[in-house]
Amino acid sequence: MESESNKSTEQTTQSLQFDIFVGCTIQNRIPFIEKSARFVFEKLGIKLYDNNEFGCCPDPVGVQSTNHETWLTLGARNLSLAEQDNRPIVSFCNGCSETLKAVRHELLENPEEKSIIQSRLKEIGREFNGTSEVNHFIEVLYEQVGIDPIKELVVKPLTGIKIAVHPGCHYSRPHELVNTDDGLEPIYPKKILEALGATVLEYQEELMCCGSAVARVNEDAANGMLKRKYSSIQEAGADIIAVICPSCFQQLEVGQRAMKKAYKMDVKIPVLYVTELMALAFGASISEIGLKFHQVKPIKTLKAFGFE
Amino acid sequence: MEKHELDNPAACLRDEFTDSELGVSLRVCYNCSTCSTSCPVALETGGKFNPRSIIQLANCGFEERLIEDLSPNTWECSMCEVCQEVCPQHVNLHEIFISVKNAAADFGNIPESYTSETNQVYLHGKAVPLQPVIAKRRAQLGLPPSPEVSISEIQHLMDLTPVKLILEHANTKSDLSEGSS
Repeated sequence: MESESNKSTEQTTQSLQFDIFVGCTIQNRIPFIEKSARFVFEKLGIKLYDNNEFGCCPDPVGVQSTNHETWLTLGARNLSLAEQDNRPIVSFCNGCSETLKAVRHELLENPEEKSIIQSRLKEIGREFNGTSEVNHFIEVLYEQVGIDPIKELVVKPLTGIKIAVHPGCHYSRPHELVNTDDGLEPIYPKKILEALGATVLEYQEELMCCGSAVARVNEDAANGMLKRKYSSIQEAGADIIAVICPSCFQQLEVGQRAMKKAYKMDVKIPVLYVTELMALAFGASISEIGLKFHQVKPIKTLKAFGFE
Repeated sequence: MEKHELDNPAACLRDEFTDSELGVSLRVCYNCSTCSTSCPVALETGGKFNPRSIIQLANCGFEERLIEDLSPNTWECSMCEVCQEVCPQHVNLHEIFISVKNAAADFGNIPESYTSETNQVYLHGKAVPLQPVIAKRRAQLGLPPSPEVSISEIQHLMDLTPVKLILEHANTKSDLSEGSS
């Protein structure tokens, strides 16, 4: 049984290869997440290729809200680069994966828009046809790799760690555009964490948005959203919050200080990326994946569970 | 307000809402309020911001109010997309709100954080440009250097869209961080 499933791991993962779309925030602000992502994918035997020409996805909040046409045009440029490489994309960010999926979807559905974008790309010597698929990394792990090969790589299970998962909005919504998991009750990230041996908690405000877009214009409303979220997570008794989006990661770290200021509320719950938790379970050390660079230090919590 | 070179944004938005697929989506709304009861910002603002009111105003020809007065202020939307997910009529709230914000941006009503982010993309090709401390951190972590993209390609493409006008025009407006209402 053991050897049979090992064989299947190799068969499943050896053929998988992607252009890695790191995204601006991870690449240039919180690069330790990229470290854990590369570590995990290498362990799984999935080949990642860097295309150094990828620009901003662009941001589905910031750039799309400013001008949809700009967002569409720059998104198509990124897709054209992956097409040239003849590879699908794997993204490690909810925002980037939403943008790239939505741009591709919109252009494939609208021949008129597609021809306008094609003529623009032609001016810089590039071409969009829509041949490169876009995947969120969670989709790759759950649907293409599968739970069993992940389980097989666990050398240090997350036994006893109680985790509240914050999937974030753009991972599974708008569902007709991103087309993965469940729009309102996503389960893939939970299944992956359970495969690592963690205890995944149910909590009331799981669906509550981190509010990073709201914080740009209405700080009080954004703080109120976070307060609901953290209270619910504290009530459930979580040791760690797990995320799969750099924007949520930053908001949920920075927000803990905001709670103190706005409500004199004490929140101190480490926020970890699913890839960081996977890397730890796959045997990475705390220092190897740069966990000391987190704002809310996770080291004490992790050491209490036997991680070095 | 000085007149700028973008076409009348309210009129353009009205055209979009009356004569496009988005307009069809808008008109099937039957005012059930499921969107507003699921909206986290409506919850926090006591309904001062709520998706249904934006849909209603868009449906009844109040484009000026939406983009010139920002009342309600569509920029407060969290973009969590729950409203669209729960809408029994499958109204495309996501795209409708993008259109309202785009038209507000054309009018010059755009929060500074949006123009500054888009401007970073124009200048560096990335919303978050590389800082020396992060370059060092990447090396410490054994990561490849953060690549620099062909800015000329990005700028060429962006210049084919109206974004330059939006960025220039917005610079003349004051910070809208609290909107107006």
